[in-house]
Amino acid sequence: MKNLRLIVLRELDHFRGWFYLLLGLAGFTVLLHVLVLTILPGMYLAEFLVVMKSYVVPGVFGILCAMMGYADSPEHGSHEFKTRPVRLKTLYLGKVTVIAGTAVALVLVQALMSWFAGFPLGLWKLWVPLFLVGLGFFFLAALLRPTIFSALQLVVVIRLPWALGDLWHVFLRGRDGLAIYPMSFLALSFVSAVYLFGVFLAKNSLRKRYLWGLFIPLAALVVGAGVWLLPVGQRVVSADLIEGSLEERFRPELRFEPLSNGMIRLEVIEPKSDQGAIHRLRFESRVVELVGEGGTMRRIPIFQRSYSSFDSSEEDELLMALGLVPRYTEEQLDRIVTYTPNSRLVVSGSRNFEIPAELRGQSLEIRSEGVASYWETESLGVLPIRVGKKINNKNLSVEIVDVDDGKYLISLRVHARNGARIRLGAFQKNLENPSLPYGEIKWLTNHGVIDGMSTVDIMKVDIHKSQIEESPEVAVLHLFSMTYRGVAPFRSKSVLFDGKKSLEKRQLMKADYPIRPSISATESE
Amino acid sequence: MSAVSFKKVSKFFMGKCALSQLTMEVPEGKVTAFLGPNGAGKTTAIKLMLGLDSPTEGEITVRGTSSEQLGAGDFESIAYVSENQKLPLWMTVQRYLDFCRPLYPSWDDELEARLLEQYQLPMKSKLKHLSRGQLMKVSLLSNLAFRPKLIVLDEPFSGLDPLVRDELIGGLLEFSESEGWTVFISSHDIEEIERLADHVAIIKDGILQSNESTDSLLARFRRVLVPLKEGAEVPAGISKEWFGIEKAGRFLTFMHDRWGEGALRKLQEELGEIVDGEVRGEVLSLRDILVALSKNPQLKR
Repeated sequence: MKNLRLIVLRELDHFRGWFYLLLGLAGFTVLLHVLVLTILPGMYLAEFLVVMKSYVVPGVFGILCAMMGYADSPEHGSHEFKTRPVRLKTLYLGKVTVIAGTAVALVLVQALMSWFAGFPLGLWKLWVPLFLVGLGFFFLAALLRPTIFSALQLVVVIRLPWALGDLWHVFLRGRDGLAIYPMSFLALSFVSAVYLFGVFLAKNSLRKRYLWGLFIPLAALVVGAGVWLLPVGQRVVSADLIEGSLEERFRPELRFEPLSNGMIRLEVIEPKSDQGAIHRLRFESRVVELVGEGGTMRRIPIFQRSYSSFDSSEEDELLMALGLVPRYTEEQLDRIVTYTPNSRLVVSGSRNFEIPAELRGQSLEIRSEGVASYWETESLGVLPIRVGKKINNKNLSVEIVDVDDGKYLISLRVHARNGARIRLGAFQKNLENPSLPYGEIKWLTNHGVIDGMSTVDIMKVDIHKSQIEESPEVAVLHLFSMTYRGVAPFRSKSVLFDGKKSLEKRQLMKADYPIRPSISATESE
Repeated sequence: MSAVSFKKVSKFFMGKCALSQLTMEVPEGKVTAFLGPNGAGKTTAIKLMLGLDSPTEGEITVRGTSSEQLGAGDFESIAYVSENQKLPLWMTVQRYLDFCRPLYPSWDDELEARLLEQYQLPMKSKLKHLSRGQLMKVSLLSNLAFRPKLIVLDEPFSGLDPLVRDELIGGLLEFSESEGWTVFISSHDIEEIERLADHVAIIKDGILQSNESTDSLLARFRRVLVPLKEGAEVPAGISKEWFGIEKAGRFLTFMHDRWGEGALRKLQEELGEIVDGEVRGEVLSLRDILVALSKNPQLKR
C-alpha cells in the first residue's frame, strides 16, 4: 500500500504516449472543425461534440484498458515490477485507481461536451453503466492473471466501447432497445467464433492464454442477457393509465370488416383525437381469437411486420427471420393520418386475415389481443418558414437552417435532448389538394424515432410550392412531437360476426362504441 | 544444493522450439555463467525461471518454489537485472530507491549508501536522463541493497563501456565472494564473465551443450600443437576427439576436449614417428571453448 501512489504514477506513465497522441488528434480535429465551420454553413459545434463524446471518449477508455494490459503482458511488459515483491493487490488497486480516475475525468469531459452541445439530461445513463461494466471486466480480469490483458487488448480496444454502446441502447430503451441489440449479438458471436478459430490454430501456451480472450464476448453476452431480464428496462405502463386514456381522452374503435375474398379486415380507428397535448395509444394486434358455434376456438397470430414502407428495412427482415420483433412495431396498425378541419386527428390502421376453413359459414365471436404503445403527443407550435426561426420544448429543439426556394426544401436542425423515443412530425397547409384542405402530415424523423441524446440531425422537408409562392411571410410548419412512454397489453371486447349472412362491404361489426371503447387494457404481466 | 533446478524444461513459441528438454542445476553460493550466442534461449530460460512465462513442458524450482508459484514473498530475496528491463524512467534515482526500499524487509541502508558512494549516481536526475551505464548501476544497486539470496542477471553488461563493466563486475565479484550469494548471469559475450564464473552452462539453439564447473571445463579443453617432421602427412582416420584440425607450415593444430595425461600418451601413439619435438596442449579461454562448441555440436557433453 505504501507504493500505491507510485504504482498509479507508473500506470499513468505507461500510456502517457498514447495520451499525448490522442490529445494531439483531438487538437487537430478541433482545428479542422473550426476550419470546416468557417467554410460550410450548417455545421455546428454541437454535431462535432456529439461525435467526440460518442466515439472518442469510449475510445480513450478502451485504449486505456488496453495499455494497462500491455504494461503487464509477458512479451512487452515491464519485468521490473513483476519481479519485485509488489503485492498483486497493490498493483491492481493502482490500476483500478487509474481506471476509476480516468472514467471520472471522462465523465466530466462528456458532461462538458454534452452541456455545450445542449444535452443536459440522461448523461448518467450512459456513463454509470459504462463505468460499472468496465470496472467489472477489470476486476474479473484482475482475479485471474495479468497475462489476460495481453490477449485481450485487441478485443478490448475494438469491441468493448462498441458493446457498451449497445448495452446503453438497451438500457435506455428497455426491451425495445433489444431490437438493435441482436445485430451486435451476431457481431459479437462472429468475433467469438473467429477468436475460437484462432485459439485452436495457436499452439500450446498461447492457446491457453487466448482462451481467456473469450471472457469479454461471454461477459458481454451475459451482461446483455442480464439487461434484457431486468424489469427496469421494460418501460411498461400501467393498465390503469391506458384504461383511463380510453375512457377520458379518446375512444378508439376496433372493427372487423368482412371482405369479398373471404378475408376479414381488423381495423382500429381513433376518430377525433385531440391534436394538442394528448396521450395517444397505438394498438398493435398480435392475435385474433375466433370462437365458433360449437365452442371451437382458433387463435390466429398476426404476422409481426411493419407495413409502413420506410420501416420495412433489411434489418427488419433479418430480425423477423430470427423470430424477433421488428424495431418500430407501433406502425403496424397505423396507416392513415389525416388532419381534419376541426383540428383533430383521425388515425386508423387495418390488417386482413383469413377465417379458417372449419369456421367459415358460422356465427363467430371475434376478439383480439395485442400490445398498446403509449405515446405522449405534444404540439411544438407553429414555425414560420424562415432561416433562423427556432422552436423548443423540453425534449426537442428545431431550427430552420436553410430554405431553398428553388427546390422547395427546408433544412431543419433537430436536437433531441433526452433518451426518449421521439417522433417529430409537421403539418403543412396544402392549398392545392382539395381533398386535404388543411394539409397533410409529414413525419420528419425518417425512422419515426429519434435516437435520444445521440441525435443532432439535419433533416430535409419538402414544402409546397404554392405556399411559398402565395404568401412567403406567412408560410408555416406546424410541428409536433410524440414521445414514447411504454407499452401495455390489451384485449378487445368480443364482437359477433354472422358468417351466414352475405358479405357486404358496409357490414361493420361494431363494438359498443361510443358508449364504451371496444378495447380494454389488461393487467400487465 | 541447487538454488535453481531445471527439469526437462521445454518452451515453444508458435510451434517454434526455444528451449528443448533443458535439465540443469544452478549451484547455491556460486557464480554460474549461462553462455550462448544470440537467440540460443538464454533469456527465455530466465523468464521461465522467474515466472514471467510458463514452460510448455517440465518444471523449474527456484529456491524450493516452483517458478510458476513465485510470489511477492519469494521476490523479497531474488534480484533480477536485465538489459531489457523497463525502468520507470520518469522517476528520479532518489524516488526509485524510495520506491524499492519499503518492498524489501531486508533492505540494507548502509549497503545502499556504500553502493551509492561507489557508483556516484546523480540522485536528483530522472532515470530517463541517465546514461545506459548509469541506468545499469541504478538497477544493480536497487537489486543488491536488499542482500538477495539469488541474483539473476540477463546480459547485464552488453553495450557498456569497459570501465563501467569492470566496475560492475568488481562489485559483483566482491559480494558473491564475501556474502556467498548465488549469481546466475547470462551473456553472449563471455570475456567479462570468465573471471567471474565458478560454473559455466553453455546453450545453443535451445539445447544445453555443457554444464560444469569453470575449472573442469578449462581443464579438459586444449588447443594441441604438434610439430611435424619435414614432409610428413597427417594420417587419415585420426582420433574423433580431435576437431578443428588445421595444418600450418610444419605445425598441426587441433582442439581436444578430453585433455590429460592419458590423452597425451594416446596422441603420441597415434601420431608415432611423424612428430618432431614436444606436443604441447595450450590452455583455451572460455571464449575459444564457446566458439569450438558452437562450431562442433557433436562435442556436447
